[in-house]
Amino acid sequence: MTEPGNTHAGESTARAQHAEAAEALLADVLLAVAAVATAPLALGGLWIRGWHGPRRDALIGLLGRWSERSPRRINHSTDPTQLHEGMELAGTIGTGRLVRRAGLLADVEGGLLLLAMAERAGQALLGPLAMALDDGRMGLVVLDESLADEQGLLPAVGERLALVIDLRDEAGLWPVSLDLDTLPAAQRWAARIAGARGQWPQVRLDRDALAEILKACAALGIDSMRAPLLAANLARVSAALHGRESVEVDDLGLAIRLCLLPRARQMPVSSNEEAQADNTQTEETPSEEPPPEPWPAPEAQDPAQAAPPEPPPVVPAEAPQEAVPPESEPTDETDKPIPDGASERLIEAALAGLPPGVLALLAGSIAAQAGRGQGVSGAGLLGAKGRGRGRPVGSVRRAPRSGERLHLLATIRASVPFQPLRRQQAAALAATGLQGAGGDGAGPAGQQRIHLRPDDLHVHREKRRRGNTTVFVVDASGSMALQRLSEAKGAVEVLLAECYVRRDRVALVSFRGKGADLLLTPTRSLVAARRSLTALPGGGGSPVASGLEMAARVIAQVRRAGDSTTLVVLTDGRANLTRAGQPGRQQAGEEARQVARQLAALADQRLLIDTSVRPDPAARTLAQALQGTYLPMPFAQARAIGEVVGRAVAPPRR
Amino acid sequence: MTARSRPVYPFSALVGQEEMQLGLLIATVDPLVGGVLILGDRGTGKSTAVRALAAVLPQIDTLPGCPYRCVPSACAGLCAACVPAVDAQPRPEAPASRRGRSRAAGAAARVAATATVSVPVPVVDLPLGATEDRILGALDLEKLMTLGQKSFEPGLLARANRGFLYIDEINLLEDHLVDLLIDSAASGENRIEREGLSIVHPSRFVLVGSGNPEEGELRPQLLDRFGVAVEVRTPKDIDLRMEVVLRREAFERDPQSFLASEEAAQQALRERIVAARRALPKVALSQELLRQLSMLCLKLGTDGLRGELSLMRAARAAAAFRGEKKVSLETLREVAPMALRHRLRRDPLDDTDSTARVARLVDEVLV
Repeated sequence: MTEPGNTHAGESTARAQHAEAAEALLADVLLAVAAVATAPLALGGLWIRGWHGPRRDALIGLLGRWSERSPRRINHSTDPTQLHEGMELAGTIGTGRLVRRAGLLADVEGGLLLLAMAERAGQALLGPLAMALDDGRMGLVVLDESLADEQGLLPAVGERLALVIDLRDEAGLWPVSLDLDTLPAAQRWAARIAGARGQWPQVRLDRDALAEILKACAALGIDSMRAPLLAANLARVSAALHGRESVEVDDLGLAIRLCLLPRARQMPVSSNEEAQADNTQTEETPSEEPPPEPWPAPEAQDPAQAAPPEPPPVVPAEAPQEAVPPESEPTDETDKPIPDGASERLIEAALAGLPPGVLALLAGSIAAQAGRGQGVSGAGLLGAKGRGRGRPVGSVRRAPRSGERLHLLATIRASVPFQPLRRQQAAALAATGLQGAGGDGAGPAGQQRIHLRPDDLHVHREKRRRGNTTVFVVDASGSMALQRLSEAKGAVEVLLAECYVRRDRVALVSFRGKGADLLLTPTRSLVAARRSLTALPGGGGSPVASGLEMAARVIAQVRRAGDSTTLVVLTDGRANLTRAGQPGRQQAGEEARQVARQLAALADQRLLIDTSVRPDPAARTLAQALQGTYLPMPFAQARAIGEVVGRAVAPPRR
Repeated sequence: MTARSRPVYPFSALVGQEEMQLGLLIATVDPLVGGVLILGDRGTGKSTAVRALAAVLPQIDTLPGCPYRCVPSACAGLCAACVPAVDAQPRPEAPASRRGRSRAAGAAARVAATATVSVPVPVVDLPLGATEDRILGALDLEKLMTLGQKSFEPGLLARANRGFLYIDEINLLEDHLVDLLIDSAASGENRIEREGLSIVHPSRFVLVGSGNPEEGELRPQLLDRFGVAVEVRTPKDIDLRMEVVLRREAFERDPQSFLASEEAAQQALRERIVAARRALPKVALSQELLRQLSMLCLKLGTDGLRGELSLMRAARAAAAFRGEKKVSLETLREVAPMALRHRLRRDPLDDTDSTARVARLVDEVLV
């Protein structure tokens, strides 16, 4: 992040840089919208992250004006059965003749579907959409309002969308007052999209350019083979929009920024080693010829310069990048449009050009992925949402709503007593020649065997197996002697095995030193849980309140997804750091109890295991604030503790 | 869910996923091997490979319009295609497989005259959010409401009969849907006893599931339904990745000519599969290898005899595909991890890679 100096001059340059970054971002965003309007099927679509607001609305407006057909909007509550063609039940019963409705997918065939509140959409809706994307039936624009630490869009869908626009850091964006339509760039794209639609498939993308895309994927740790394909298509669409016949460096840069960077699993540190490992031509060559043709990188760095003027602004601390990107310029290919090693410079340029806030988000999401044990998805959570997903138990009288199943027997049973009456009515209506419930679709009125009315309808009541998520909060501070910490770990491991049997999900929060870490977002992967537990270090202060606060956030999310929650806190209760990171036992303890009281209302079951050698009053009062079970663990064996706890936290059988 | 009218990427043009290809081919040569479980990350070409299967398989004969794609000589007698007079009126008294015999015999006689048609082997996608009705089939509301007829609307299990049922991200599938599959996958038929329906229809399919085990575990009962489990990794070699992308691009740019250029290879593969199916009953497994195979399973501690049986079947199918008259040691070594890696009794907290465990013992025992 660019830290401006204290001087006035420093501030103004910072502001200028900021404005420049916002401008660059806007240029990318406009091109992204133009690209998806040009080739929705080849690009899969556009993933817009960020909250509702005038900027997002403006982009959606542009999309509507630029697309061949304006996008069809649906949201998370759309009934998945509407996607495919079918019978309209209420209409069919009401009129007595078959009423069909067209499927949404057939409706948008070849165009764009816009899914709002995508982070709340369940598998029932997203599964078929992902499949439709695979079939190239439509392009998808998703509006994802998830928070940074929340499970967002189902990864299976995100994976299939080429373009990602991140509007979450509002400070780094263009001014709201800006009228996008008046921008020269916007006008240029508006004029060119129609032409680009026919041209982009002819745009050449040569092997070198493709190799750069693949190298960028390798450097960013992107394994999926969909990403390079989408990036390649994006580069070609971008070239077509610029009126070029073949892909050039700018197009590659754009593809890296908009398609690859958001999928990054690592910052480009290992690229050098990897390049050397599998590509002999990247050996350090003493002579550094400038590229035959200078290709100004978008951020106006001198592309021939091997080392960037300053290290890339955000590099994960554990992986410092100090090596100069190896330059290799084979002399025999003088008129190559894409200089070798372009991807590395392009990634650097892309990183340098991003506004600082976005970089923080990006780094955060990479860390989150690492914490999830190689990208454990939130799909499990999402799966719990939506109707029509449980075991049927009985019926209830109402017309089927989204995803509900009609309970036929109950429906017909409800109508049976009225059959003679309705038959008479129908006959009377037919006799008077009025259009009646008999309906011509079903033949003469008298032949309709069952006369149903919409208010006969019953639907299946479904009981969903509520999943349980156990959130562990492990105190790893210095006051937990190392011995105790490993015993606590042992207890958690035993509990994990219990969770496996119950098919619970587990999440793991630890606190030590300055704050709390979410080591593991809710997952069913026990292996991941165990791995992060084993790696948990100890020592430092004891910010109990921060740990509990983090747990509260996780629990709130789990509850939103409809799961019940069990909270297990392992601590000696000796809080000595406040949430703000200030030392002070008194206040730290008070804060901890305060958060604990909130948790008492949030978590369905609460348990505190006192890990101090002698039972500690601090831990007991904390358990009281939690209104939970208090279990001292003096010199206990892990397994013994595990059994006690297992009994204590077992969810009540229903 | 509509019929895939779009061109499908050809199986023969897949690059760099040998283990997955072999696993799928084993299942095509001998469907009795059981299902194929594909373990790996997104974007590694799992779906592409599975969907490409239909085109390399020889077409199957059935009656025109039969939603279950019955074998003409053994039709279930459920639909109007084979029993024109029957309006699929369900008979509650006995399962179709038994009570249908006399009726089916009559139907078979009637349909003998009817021309059969060749249709592609079905490869059916089961989306994650599918409802029970969609999978099992349900009362046809449309007919009920408009014609007052009680008739059965076949679901995905009917459509997958004699073909493949593919579930991407199977580890995220809801438990109650998994239960439906487990039963059908074992019995080869789908039983519907609800809403006044009482129907049994053939549903013999090869279950193909894919998913990333890191994102959730599969229930052991479901794991057991898979004959082979293959691991798929994204190619790390840049040249190989280039090749993947270039081919895919070429295909997307001009599917027709890409398909045309692959047709010879596809045809060769098709013939190989047909030949392998013919040769399969004659492929022998020597006593010596059988002993080693049992030893391997014993040492790995697989449950019961399932490990042995499925490894034997898979090895014979692989040998048949490779034109071996006797299963060779190499083939057995190659197939062993696929057939066994998901059958190890597993401590949920044990981090050790089961593939590594199998590989170690394969080196030790199969020499």
